[in-house]
Amino acid sequence: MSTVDTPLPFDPYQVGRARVDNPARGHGAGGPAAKRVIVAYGFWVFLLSDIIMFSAFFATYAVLAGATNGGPGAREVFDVRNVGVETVFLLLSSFSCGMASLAAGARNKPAFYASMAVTFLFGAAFLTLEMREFVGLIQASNGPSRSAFLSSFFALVGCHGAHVTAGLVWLLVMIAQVFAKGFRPEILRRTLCFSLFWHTLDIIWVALFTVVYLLGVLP
Amino acid sequence: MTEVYREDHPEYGDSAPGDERLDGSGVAQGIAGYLVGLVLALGLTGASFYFAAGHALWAPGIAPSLVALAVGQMGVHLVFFLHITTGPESTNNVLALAFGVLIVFLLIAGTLFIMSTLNHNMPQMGEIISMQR
Amino acid sequence: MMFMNLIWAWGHPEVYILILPAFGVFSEVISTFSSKPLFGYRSMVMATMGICVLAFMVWLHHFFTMGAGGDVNAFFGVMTMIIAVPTGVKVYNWLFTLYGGRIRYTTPVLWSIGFMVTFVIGGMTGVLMAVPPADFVLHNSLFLVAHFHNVIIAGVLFGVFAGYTYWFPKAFGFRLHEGWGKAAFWCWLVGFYVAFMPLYVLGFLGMTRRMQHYDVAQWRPWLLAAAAGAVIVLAGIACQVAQLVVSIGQRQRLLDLTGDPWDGRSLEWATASPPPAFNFAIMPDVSGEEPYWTIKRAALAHHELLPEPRYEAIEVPRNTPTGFVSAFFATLLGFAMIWHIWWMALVGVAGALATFVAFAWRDRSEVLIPAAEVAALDRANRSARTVALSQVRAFR
Repeated sequence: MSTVDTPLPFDPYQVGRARVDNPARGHGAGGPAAKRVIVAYGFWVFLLSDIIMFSAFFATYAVLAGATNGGPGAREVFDVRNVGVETVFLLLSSFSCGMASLAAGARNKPAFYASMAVTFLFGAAFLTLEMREFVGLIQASNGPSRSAFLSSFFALVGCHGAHVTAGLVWLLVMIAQVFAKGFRPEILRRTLCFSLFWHTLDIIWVALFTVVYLLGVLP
Repeated sequence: MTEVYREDHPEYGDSAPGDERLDGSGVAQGIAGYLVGLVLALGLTGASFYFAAGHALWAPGIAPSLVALAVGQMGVHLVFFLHITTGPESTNNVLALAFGVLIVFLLIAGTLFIMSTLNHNMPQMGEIISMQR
Repeated sequence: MMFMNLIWAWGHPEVYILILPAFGVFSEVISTFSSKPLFGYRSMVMATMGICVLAFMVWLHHFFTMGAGGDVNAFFGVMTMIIAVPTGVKVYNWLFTLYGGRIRYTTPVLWSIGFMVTFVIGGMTGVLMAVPPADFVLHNSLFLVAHFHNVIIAGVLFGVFAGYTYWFPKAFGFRLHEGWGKAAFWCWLVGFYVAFMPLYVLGFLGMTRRMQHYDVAQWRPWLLAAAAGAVIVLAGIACQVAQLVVSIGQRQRLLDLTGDPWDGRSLEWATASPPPAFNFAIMPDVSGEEPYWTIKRAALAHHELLPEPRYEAIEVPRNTPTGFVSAFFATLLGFAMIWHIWWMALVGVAGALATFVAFAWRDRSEVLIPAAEVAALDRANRSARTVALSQVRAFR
């Protein structure tokens, strides 16, 4: 921003706050933050609102988990081994997503493409397993309309799955953007937002596998 | 207009969530950070699944320890993957997170509290039917 | 009941989302037209933050009667009463801001004072209903209907009207006609009381809400009074329409030349009316609660403006229709999901996704306003203010 060499005699706006002798004292006194920081903060607020939405689904599930209406309960329908594999896939995709943002930071295109591709594969594998689980449940006539428990299960886990699907589309768009435009500052900021999104999905999955699957199948 | 980026200033480094350092040494450090996060997360996940199988712990202690492990793993993800730090520019992120966690807690705890006593003051279905007769 | 619980877990914080901006408007208006800084600024902020948190802990009071146990009802009843405390802090702060001030009774101030009197009545009937046993009697009666209109009309709507009159010159460059504004206010205030006070009585007389017809003769006079009140409110709305039309007609006379028509105290009045796209030619630094008031005092004392700053090009966001377009597709999706029209849901998803990708693909999201243009716009603002300053001098 603007730099004033000599302090004005009367400067209530303190335009010269970016002066070298006036480093940040907190409370915004160091001048506007970098765009990157602001963009990340804005996206972080969106993610938190998304988390709050998930908390409503979690609350619903927690209330309805016992409402099986004579149908199968958590212990009968969940396959913990499948969930374990899903979890590892998502964790690894989170890790490779971190590698992708490091590669973007270092402006290394091949590394970026490779890590994004790995992220996509693990994400898609996760989604395939989840779909298989859903299809299996529905074929065994344990679909969302079987009981309140299964409705809330499909709503909660399906909502996470829908987020992962959207994330995969976004991932492809980011690869295409880097391919077409290179590592320009705004592309880097979008990559940053994508990685925040992807890591947050993993956090929600941690709550999900614990609350829904692990606590669900406890004897 | 020449944009002065704050990250050029030595005092401000990695402070936004998901932020990376740009210089060469940062990459190695970054990979190390993610590796630590991955190992911790895998360890906590493994512990969760192991305890859930019900062999290692006193049965009533399993559920609380699973919740504790999950909270710990979320912390690991926040610190090592989302880079929520204590740096000056992370203050806003941390405050927003604190508010978000508060709301999540209020919503879930409040809903469970409310729904658990849903029919406390209501007559049983049988009583209603007998009243209609 | 789960839907009930979830909708109010959202819905109750939502009414505070409605009222908190209105509270902010009143703080601005009352401070400006009392020619005083806002009383108890910090306690005001603390009260707002307190409401923000408490707002998420009271939602059950919308369904005390659903059959929950005494513990639940007691907890949420007490929380509901507690939320009146920060609200009361705010009301006292506004009163103390008015106290000892040189109050100018403009339309925004009338809305604010009307708000304070009326909103307190609505707040007290709210505390009354926060007592669960009382709520069992009053639930879904016209008493409740009167209560929430009492807080939402007197709180939110009056706040919106105050803000509309207050910031209209900032947004459009000319003030609204005062006479029509005051007429609108009085019609609204009188009409409000005539329309909604009978509803409290009707609530006590046992009338429930959403009735298709009624056959209780005792209710009739009160309902006729309420209908008369509605007609007076309608006259108020007509006055507001007339106010807008007349103001546009007389805009040359009502022109805001300096950008500071109300002798304002906060920074938006430092810009021209209507403000340029970049708002401030140089980034203002705020070190006190009333930076513009400080700078204005200094200018009046020294009989001159601050020295002209060195102008630089300013980057501003470009306008984009993305929000509107994606909201359109999202609405389509929501509608289609409710009515199970799957093809339309698919169109909604695809459209929202396409909008998202097109937006994500944008190349330039900001434009640079050149320094010369910034300088020209800011110099016009400065010269208007210099003229005003010289007039103040001549007047003295």
